[in-house]
Amino acid sequence: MAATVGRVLRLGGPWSAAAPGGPRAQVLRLIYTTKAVQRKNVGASGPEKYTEEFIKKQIEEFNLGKRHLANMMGEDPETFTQEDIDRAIAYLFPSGLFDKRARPMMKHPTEIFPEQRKIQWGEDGRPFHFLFYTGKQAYYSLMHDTYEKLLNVQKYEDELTAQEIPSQKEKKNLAGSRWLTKIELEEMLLEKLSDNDYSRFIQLLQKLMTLPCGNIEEKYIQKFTREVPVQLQKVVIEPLKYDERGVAFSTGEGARKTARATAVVYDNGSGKVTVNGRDVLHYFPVLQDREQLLFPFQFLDRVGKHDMVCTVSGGGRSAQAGAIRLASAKALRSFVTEKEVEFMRQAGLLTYDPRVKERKKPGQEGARRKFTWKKR
Amino acid sequence: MAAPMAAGLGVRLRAWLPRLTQVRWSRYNPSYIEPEVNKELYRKPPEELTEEEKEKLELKAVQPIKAAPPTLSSSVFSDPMISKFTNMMMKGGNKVLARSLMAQTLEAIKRKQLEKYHKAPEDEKETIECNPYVIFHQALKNCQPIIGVSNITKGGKTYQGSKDHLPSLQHKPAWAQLPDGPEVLTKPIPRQYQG
Repeated sequence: MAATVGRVLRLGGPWSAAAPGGPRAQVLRLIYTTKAVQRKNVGASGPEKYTEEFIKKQIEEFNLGKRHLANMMGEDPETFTQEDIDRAIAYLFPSGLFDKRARPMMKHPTEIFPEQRKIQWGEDGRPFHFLFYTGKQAYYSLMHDTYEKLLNVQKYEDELTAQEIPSQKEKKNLAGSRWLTKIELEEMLLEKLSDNDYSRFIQLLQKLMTLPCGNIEEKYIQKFTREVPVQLQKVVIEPLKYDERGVAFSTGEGARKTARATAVVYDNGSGKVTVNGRDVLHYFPVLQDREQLLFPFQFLDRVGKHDMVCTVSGGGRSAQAGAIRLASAKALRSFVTEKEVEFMRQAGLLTYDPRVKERKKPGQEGARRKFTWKKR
Repeated sequence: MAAPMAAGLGVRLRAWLPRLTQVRWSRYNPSYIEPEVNKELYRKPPEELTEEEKEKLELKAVQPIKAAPPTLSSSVFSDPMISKFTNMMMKGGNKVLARSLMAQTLEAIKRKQLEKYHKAPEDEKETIECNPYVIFHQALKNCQPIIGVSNITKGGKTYQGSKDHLPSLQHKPAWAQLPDGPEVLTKPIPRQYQG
């Protein structure tokens, strides 16, 4: 039990695993390390910081600890998921620390200890892989494999043309997938890549895919693609509400820089717009701001058909106009078909504008402007 | 046959491949694309769309889009060239003044053209252009340079020789093909300065 408690008390993060591997493990786990121990481990660089037996032991301890934790919480050990573990830890060890990574956590050892490359040479010092001396053996072997697939596809194509069978061009819906990012590829290969290497690999994959008979190697290519959520319309559109007079209305909230706005758009209107209790001509004397307010309505051809009542605070003249534009566009989503919502999104009406004033840096006069350069 | 489809497929899954180091950065993630404000493009019924446009639409449905800037609008009165000109006229961030000056200019153009229109005889009325936007665009095109200078190094020394500013040699503007086009095109370039 003490071992389990000690395990649970271990804070997340690789530094706390400074207690070196299996043979020196003690009953009492280290909760903190001294500088000497930390320095020693940083010096011991190389592919193996944690032995395989160490990781296996950690996994066994984790599973055991999971069962103990389930018993403590009074739940069934068989169906104790990771979310239950997180909730239990947050309950037993409440922490007010800001950074989530600094709080006590209990996760599967594969998530805590980063994956490492195994030792790549045998006892006689001879490397296992034939590309070891290139320095990037995983990357070059991957390129070799991919090129082999490319040659296979070309050979297959040649066979088909020799037999005069028309090649089938099956079109896949590729809009919903993307290639692996450089970081994901590095994690997969456990090797550092340069930008150039990464772009060469992606170009090779694209070439493989664009060949007419590339469908043969689909499984291989799928290893390097990730799904992209097909519709970016993850946002739920609220249904219309009706007020006492029976008129349909809808609310929307918008923000731009420091301005915050809420807009209520009523149906069966005459195009009257009220901002903070005042008429729009009073509040926005500048034509550009009024043009921005009208933009969503003009885009949907509903200029004189809706009334709008808005409240806005903060920001400047243009920021307030932008905030109301976003709020009214969000409110109009409820009045309009899904296709038109997608058109509005593609026109840039439904995106929150993240641009804010850039901070001033020390040693410069402004965000970008430097002080006058003087020769002497 | 295979080539256009290959190109289309190649474009689809293009990852953001970093080719240049980041010096200018923006608050948007690099995957965000520019918004398309033109209403006409969205009003086309699905049958009229070509294969390419359908593919582009599908691709766009998955990509996040930047917010439209405050100077951009779908109304008929917002013109990208006029906005650019207004921004260049602006001093000290005083957009209100720049826009009012631009509006006064366009109004003055319209007034002059209307005067000419009403004074002209019936048969010439159709040739007078009253739309100030059209006049502005034509004026800008007339001001564009056709030949510029570029550095040519010959025998160790760097001279400045002529270089075409035209976007492509095949698409010369109509007036440049006339025999009495600008003198510059007909003037022979000295041999030592030829590239």
